[in-house]
Amino acid sequence: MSLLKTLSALGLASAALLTVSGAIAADLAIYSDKTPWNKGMSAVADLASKASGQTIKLQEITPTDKYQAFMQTSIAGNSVPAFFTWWNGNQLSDLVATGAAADLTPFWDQAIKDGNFSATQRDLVSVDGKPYGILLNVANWVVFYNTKDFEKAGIAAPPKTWDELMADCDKLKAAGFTPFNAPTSGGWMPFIWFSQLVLGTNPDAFVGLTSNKVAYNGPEVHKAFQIWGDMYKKGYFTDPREQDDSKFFADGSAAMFLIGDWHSGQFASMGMKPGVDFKTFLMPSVSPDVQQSVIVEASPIVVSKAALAATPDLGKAVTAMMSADVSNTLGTTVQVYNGNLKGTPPNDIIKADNELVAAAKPRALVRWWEAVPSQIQGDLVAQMGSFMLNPTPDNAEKVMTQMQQINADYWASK
Amino acid sequence: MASAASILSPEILRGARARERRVAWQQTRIAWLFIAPAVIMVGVFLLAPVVVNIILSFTKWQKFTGLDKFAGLSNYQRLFAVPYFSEALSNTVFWAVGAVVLPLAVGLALALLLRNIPFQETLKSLYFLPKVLAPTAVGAIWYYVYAPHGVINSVVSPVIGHTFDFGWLYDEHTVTPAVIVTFVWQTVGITMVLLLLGLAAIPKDPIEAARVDGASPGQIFRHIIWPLLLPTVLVVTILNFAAGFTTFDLLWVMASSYPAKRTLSLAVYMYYESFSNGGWAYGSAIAVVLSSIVIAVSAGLAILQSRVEKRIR
Repeated sequence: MSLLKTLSALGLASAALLTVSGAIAADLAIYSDKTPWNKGMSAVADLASKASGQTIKLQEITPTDKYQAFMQTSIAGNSVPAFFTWWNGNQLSDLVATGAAADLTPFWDQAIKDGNFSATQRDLVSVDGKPYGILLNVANWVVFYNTKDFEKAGIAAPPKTWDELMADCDKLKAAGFTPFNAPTSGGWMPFIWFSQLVLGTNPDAFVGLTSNKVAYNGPEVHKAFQIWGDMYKKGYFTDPREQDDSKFFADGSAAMFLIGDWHSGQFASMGMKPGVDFKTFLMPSVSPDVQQSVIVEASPIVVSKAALAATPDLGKAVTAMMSADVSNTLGTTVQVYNGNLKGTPPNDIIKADNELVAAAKPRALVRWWEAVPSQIQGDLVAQMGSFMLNPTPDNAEKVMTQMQQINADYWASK
Repeated sequence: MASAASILSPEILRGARARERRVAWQQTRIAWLFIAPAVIMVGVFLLAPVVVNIILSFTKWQKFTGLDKFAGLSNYQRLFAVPYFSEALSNTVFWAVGAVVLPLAVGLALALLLRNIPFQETLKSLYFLPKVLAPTAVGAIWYYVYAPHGVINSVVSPVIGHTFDFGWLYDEHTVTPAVIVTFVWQTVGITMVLLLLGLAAIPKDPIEAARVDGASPGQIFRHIIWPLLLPTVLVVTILNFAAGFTTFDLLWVMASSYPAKRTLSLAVYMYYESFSNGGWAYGSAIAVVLSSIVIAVSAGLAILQSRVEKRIR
């Protein structure tokens, strides 16, 4: 009998332990897959805790596919974290359709009234006119260039037209540099040049691709692939098989890198001084008669509707996250700028990019990654990556046909 | 002499039997209490997920929605409607054959060579060493063997007189064989150890008798060693088949940048569809098919093994 009693006591103790761990698991948290921003995200969690009087911790899950899988299963199982980083565009629309995300209209109204953000910025995280995210990062996609490489190649100023850019590429080649760093690593980077060349030749086609109004094997895409293939033929791109996405740019062997300006922090951490070792310019349109476009990338933090209803104090955390304090904290810790109008851009590069965009007034477009239906983004990017590994006209035809097949199958299943 | 039953009254006997039953019941309860944790663990962490997975394969769960919608057989029908499944299946079969034949051939050769030679224990440990490494670590190491500027290309370049930067893990013709070689490198040690155990269990008398009768080493191997080693060979085959057929980690790590990586094996295809594409229900259907094939083939091999053992006895 004593054995039975002991075992029963052990059982009860285990049950109690499980209950305690359940309670711990239910603690409020900001979930994120953005490991390089760990320091900044932790600081945001601390500020949110202080403002709300709740304990809000940072919980990181990487890589991105594992993070997305975790969020999908959590939401399907009605166990939504209080705060979590997400993506805007179609990815946000899919999430909002589940009813898990809180409508943040009152918080945005207040933030706009206080002069922290603008109505245009609210649109970046809105679905059907309602905002569902707090801005964590707002980045312009620009061309980073290595100032020393440009100097050695005899390029006095960054190019303003496509022809000038191509001429500069030739000068860089002649000086022994590869003009562009273009990796395929991380599983998403192949879309960079595909989307840039489509929007540089026909921005409407770029938008049409994401809503099935333009075919992936149509004339607009053919033109983009032809330019892309020609650039490969001329040796304008680095080996796409390099796993370190910034290596060739940081070591100076590649002179330019087309990427979001949030990357400036990474270059800085690799020993390059922003504004001295590297600067930026806006990518010119391929055709001079096409309006210049710029990709604007916005990363939101989404708030759980259920958590906000259960703990109204979390509203104070939301307000805090939209303050200049949080913006500046992100800037000083990880050199990320969330676009807060009262905040200070974290470095000269981001400040200069904002001025470049304000002066050029390009057409702002949502990044292809967020604009395309999330169900086919991986499949399409894989096709783009296979072209980068074998950039021949024959392979381009094959890739375009397969991309259109994937696209058509998806829209037919809707 | 009268039996104990005949001298005891029926009441005493009934009481004794009741006591026996009580003790037996108490012992059974205690036994169940000890077994319960294992049963619960197997039930919760092994059987329940299998059942849940089968149920999920009949839903429309993709990304956030569809978990509560019945899909019938549509996920299974889709397996045959898209080209990826057949490509992944044929690659998996290629993998399974390579994972069984190559470690077995190399492992057996090593086992035969390492018997009764000096430093055999050291050599055995050396060959076994890769097995103690995590497959992800092995994958990361071998990635740099095959990398465009990795070990192989660095050796080839001076031989051919110019830079050789072939992407072994980026070409459809070389990616699978390259990863199979890595798998063999890691598996051959354990295969060799198991075969050495099998060889040690073979009685020496028939071999000695055959030798006295003038049989050649080849004849001794073919007619005595191989038939007696067959049960061990079948065990190794079952283990390597299951490992090869469900291989994931090496492929995922080594071929992470290969654009068509989803078709590298059924396990990779399952993970890709579930985790990268959010097609949870479809991924579950792939898992059901994959598991069914592994169970069916393993069961077939297990039956064959038991028949071989009976024949030997």
